[in-house]
Amino acid sequence: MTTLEGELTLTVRRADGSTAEGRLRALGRKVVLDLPEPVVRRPRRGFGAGLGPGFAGVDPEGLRHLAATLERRGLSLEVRLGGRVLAVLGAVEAPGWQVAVTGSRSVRLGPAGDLFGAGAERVLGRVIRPPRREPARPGRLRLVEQAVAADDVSAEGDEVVVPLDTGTLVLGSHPSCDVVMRGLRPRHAVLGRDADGALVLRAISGTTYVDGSPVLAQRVDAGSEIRLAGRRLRLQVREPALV
Amino acid sequence: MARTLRPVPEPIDSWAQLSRTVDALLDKVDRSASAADLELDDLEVAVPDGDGSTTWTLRGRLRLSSPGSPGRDGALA
Repeated sequence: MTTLEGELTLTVRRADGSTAEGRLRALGRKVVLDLPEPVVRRPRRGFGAGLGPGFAGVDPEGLRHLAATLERRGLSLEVRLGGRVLAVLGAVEAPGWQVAVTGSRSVRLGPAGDLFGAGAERVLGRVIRPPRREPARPGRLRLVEQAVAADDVSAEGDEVVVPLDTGTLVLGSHPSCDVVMRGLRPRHAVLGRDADGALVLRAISGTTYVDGSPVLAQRVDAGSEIRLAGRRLRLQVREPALV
Repeated sequence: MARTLRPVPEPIDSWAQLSRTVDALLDKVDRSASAADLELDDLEVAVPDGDGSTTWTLRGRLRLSSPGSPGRDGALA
């Protein structure tokens, strides 16, 4: 099996004329691509491209092909942006929910801190953004479906009270989900918390939008509009005293 | 001395093309059971992104070694 050793320098020139410098280091079967900043800006194609919004601008099919090529050779390519791991391609084992997003077991996305943390904008551009508002305070939110019949929402008529302090909430069409809605994938998305305690919506296997943008994972808060497949929901504050 | 490879026979203008090039390069080294130095001197790779395309310019050297090759100190070609 081929091994590699050495270093390449990399200059990325974008369509707008701006540049970014990076380097590619190889040692054994691991190759590390270090980039100081995003090299792809304002990806236009969304989640449906199949590899997730952070990669939409870089040809998901080609990237999957590259990952498969590396995997076949027992090689891995770790892509870092600003010292943070964005993804590893090749000889890796991606968790199931990521496979559902990327369409490849050979693409492992970076750790939660990189994808969901405050530095996410720097890491992935506009798609996964830091919160526009303050993180959710202790208390409760409610998830309200808009402009559709609410008879298939599993709790409290047209709203679902989201416990903010514990656990996660899986949304999907399978009866085992915490919130069951027709038209969604069996396990469509999950609402939970990140390491900072902020509320995060993560896509599992279906198209997921927050405030009009396709997301892989996105911090949400009161006022966030969530769209899962054709269903629109909004998170609203429900103060403890009113619960 | 390891032999030196100087790519690239055709323009690289997509991620798929880049992937095929990498595959062919590794295959060549595997099949020859030899070490090879991949020397890149301002190799340009144009890849599409959301706004059109970005150009990646690569320079430097990578030593590629197959299991049967002498490795970093080795000869063969």
